Amino acid sequence: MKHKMGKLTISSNQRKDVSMSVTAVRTAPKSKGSLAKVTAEEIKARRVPAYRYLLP
Amino acid sequence: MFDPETCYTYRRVGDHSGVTTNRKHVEHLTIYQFSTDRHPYLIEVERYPHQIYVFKFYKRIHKKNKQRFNLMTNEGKCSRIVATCFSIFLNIYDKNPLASFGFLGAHTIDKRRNIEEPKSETRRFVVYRQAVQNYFGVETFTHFSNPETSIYLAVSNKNKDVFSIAQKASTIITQLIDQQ
Repeated sequence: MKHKMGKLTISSNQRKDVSMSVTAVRTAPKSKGSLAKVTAEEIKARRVPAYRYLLP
Repeated sequence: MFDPETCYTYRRVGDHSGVTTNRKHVEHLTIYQFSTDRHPYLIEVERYPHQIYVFKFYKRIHKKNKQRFNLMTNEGKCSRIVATCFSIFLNIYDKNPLASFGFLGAHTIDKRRNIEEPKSETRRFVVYRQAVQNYFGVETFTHFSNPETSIYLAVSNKNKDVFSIAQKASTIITQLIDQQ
């Protein structure tokens, strides 16, 4: 009697399960103290233009 | 508002090396004193690596109070006090153009009124940020902030790599937060 070895059949539902488990990747948490640059546009939008700069 | 011309007359009352302060990462601590019409105040200027100067102030009577930075003074003198900090920083910057300016807007704790503000984007942070952005421009400084922790840093553009300094400051801040 001949046996075919190593042949694996996967149903379409099982394929879905596999792909879902692969996409569930954990991302590293952002550092608590990380400083982000405040853009010049953001500053310009918030700044009161009537004040004169101490340092430009 | 916040104009250094309106600042209080201040004097230096303390100078400590980083070793004697026993504060992590602090290289030097200078303490200044000034008085409003009603109360004497202290300003602590901590120098961190990469010439970062962090300003902190409180009423002198609260010196031993652990929550000295969180208490409301209810004096209505915020703008003149911040102007005094700016005046001190301008003196520092005059002597050392690599100096950067930093602050933490402490969250308010008012036990009498049962108020404890969250630590993110505090009222102090919003007011001081506005003051810094009004007076310190983007030609001289690159501005960084972390609203989650209410920390602001204006790095002098005279430094070679401002982003590397902000990155190193972030590491120090994270370590100090974890230590709390």
